[in-house]
Amino acid sequence: MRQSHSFPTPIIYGDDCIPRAGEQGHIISMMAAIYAILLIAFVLDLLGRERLAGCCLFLSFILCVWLFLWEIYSPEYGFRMPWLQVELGPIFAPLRSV
Amino acid sequence: MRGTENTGGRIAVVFDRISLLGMLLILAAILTAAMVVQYGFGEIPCPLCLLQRVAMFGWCFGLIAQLRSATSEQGTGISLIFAILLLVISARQTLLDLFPRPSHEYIGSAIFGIHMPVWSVLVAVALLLGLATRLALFGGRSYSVMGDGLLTRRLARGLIIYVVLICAINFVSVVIQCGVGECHTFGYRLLR
Repeated sequence: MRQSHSFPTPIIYGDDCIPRAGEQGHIISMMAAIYAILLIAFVLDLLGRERLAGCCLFLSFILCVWLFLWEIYSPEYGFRMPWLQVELGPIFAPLRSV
Repeated sequence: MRGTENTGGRIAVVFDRISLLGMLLILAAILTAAMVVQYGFGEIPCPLCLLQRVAMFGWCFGLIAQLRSATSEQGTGISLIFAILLLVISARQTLLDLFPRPSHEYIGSAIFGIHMPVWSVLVAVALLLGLATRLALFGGRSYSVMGDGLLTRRLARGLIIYVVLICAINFVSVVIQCGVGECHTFGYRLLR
């Protein structure tokens, strides 16, 4: 049976998105930094500085992964997604009784 | 006999370049469409949407590197890394908004009934398939630098400059939207 969950604090998204409690202002604009480093990587690549461009791209990748993990982390649920519930369908009912 | 092999090799090189250019063109078109939706229809991108754009730009970077390279597949490797990043971010966003609840609906309008993160998953899978097909057909082939024609080279150069240009526009847009704080879909922070 599906359990009913209440979600008192919106986590991150939606047009009426509310920042996580206590975390507002704890992060500077990492997004702008990622785009800046990405742009530098493209420009360096155009100028023929391929190794430096690769380093910048790697840095932007690391920052991107870090920001992604920060964005999806919720103080209440961690990285879990409790709104996704899975039930055993009727096809598995005989297995359940074993 | 050798002449036939050379002709076959040259055709393979041309198709290889065209497949890379095609993928770059598709990504540039998607990024342009995202900007049109943002500025033309006033739909401000969410943080995960912006990160998906970063993954697409990284993918473009890999394709550009591969277009220049004749002997190595490093560019394809870079593209694959960012393709997986795009897939992970878009799949997570799809799962995040899959179950409707307060403040958790898909952001933006549906295009052909499908929302943006779901489109991102489809795009990532399609382009991964494209890269895999390219590797299966032409992978590991080494040839003289830029064994392709003048037209392909000019097209590649134009596309590369266009991608850098839209990356610059996105950077300015992110600064205006996020300022020095978190990114939100309320509005452009620096324009308030």
